[in-house]
Amino acid sequence: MQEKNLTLGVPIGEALESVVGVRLLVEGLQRTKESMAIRVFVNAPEADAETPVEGNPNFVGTLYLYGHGQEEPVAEEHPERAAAQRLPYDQHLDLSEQLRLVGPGSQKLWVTFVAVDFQDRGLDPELIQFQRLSLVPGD
Amino acid sequence: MSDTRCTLIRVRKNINNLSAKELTKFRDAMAAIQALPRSDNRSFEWVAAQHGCDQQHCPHHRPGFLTWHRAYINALEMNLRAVDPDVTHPYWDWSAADADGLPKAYTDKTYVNAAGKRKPNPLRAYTFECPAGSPKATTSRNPGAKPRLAQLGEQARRSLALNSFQAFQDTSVDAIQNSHDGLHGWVGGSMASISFAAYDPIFYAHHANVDRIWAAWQAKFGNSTMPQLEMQLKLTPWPVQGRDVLDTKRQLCYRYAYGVAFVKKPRVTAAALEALADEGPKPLTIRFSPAKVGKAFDSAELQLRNLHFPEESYEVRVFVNDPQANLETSVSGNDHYAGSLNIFGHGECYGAPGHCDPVPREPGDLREEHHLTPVDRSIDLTPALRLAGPEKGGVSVTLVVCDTDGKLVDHSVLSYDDIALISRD
Repeated sequence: MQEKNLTLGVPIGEALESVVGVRLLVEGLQRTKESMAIRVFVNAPEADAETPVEGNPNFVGTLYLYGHGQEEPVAEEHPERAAAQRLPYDQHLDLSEQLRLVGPGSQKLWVTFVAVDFQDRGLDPELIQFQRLSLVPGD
Repeated sequence: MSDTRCTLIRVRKNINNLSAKELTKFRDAMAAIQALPRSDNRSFEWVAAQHGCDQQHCPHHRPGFLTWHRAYINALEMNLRAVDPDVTHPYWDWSAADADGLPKAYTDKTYVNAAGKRKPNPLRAYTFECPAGSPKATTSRNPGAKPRLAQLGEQARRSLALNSFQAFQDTSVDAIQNSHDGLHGWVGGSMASISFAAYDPIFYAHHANVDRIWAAWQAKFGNSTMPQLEMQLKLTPWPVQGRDVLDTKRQLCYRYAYGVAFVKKPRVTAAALEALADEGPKPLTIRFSPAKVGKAFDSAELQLRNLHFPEESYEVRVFVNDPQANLETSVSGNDHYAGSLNIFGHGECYGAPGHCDPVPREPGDLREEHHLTPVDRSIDLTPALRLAGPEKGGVSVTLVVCDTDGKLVDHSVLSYDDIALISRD
């Protein structure tokens, strides 16, 4: 059976002590051929495409991926420019509110990513690819 | 490139607010450039090919996203204006709180052109060939669920609170580029892929809206947090750099539509002074008619124009659509309260007589401006207007003025020329 989400534990470390808030940094987010949305939840490992986002304190935000639309292998007149459309990038989400929900003594924050299309249908979580996940001070 | 001397500032309007004549002219101009061959750089297809397939110039999640697309929309707009100089490119305000799907102007199957003939709507779809030699394809759309559009709009509006250029452009989940990405996916079909999005005519109305939001962000935060790399970036294939497209009005000669309503400062008459003596100090309530301030209130600000520095310091509490507001009216948790303008009094004048009287400067006067030269002071009414909502009869603004001891003073202590309500839709 296909998994409904991607859930990872992020070490909290000293994040709770930050006075300027905390952000979840997603590094090296891979682009996809088709456009899609990634809903991000904390401490909600059961989250799926049906999980409400409005009024849900565990919902952090949605990352949108604008599909590059290129076929593999890239057969473009300008392959170097086409390759630039596929470079991974970083995104951050403010977690200051959600971290307040984390109980004292917790070592990890569980972050759940749910891939959906624009008709709210769940997609294969294997489409969600990035290099690193960490908590960093807010700005 | 130096600043352009604009002889005319063009106004880009909301697609839903174009008059029937304006929409026909826009469609006629679009049909004309769509009829040109791709080999002609004045054509729709030549411009479309610069974005994705097959020239691939557009930067996404790389430096230059906002600047490059500003130059890009400018290029298409100039091609349209070469056909009809009355045309400016409209924007699709998908970020408005009341956005309701694709604009009708882009979904109508046909329209009647200026010559009175029924024609296919050139804003609905476009047939193209890319890569060269491949079969012809026609753009398509597959709009997503409506609640998702509302979420995208909310996210886009939140971008206006981000105070650094990079967070606003790119790195934050609330960055304009993230909701921009989502809108591409929400429209679906051709718009959902970088390669083919720009062949759909709605692409340009979407990006004009992104550009409009950036212009509003610039008006709030300026360009000081923009990295040098962004300023110096070449926006190929256009022969300009990022720094050449920062100011829409001075460098590119356009702005986005807004409504302005002015109300002159009420004159202090003998009757008013008598009433003041009898009844004590009062707040001031001003009503702006809806016809003057535009149909929508995507954002709005109140300006006290040419405000003179008073001797004493005052706090001016601003309430929207609450004409009964007074000193006792709560500010905390009150949706009608827009905020306070704190006006710093200049105190006693220590110079010789006349030292504190600002005088107009002559042209060529190199001295510093007079320290008490009147200023324009503004306050953002957008959140209060969203929460309190416009009234049937327009918008009322109530100014409650109090001194440093928190006592109500009459509004007439403030000296200014007029009050303006500036709304952007």
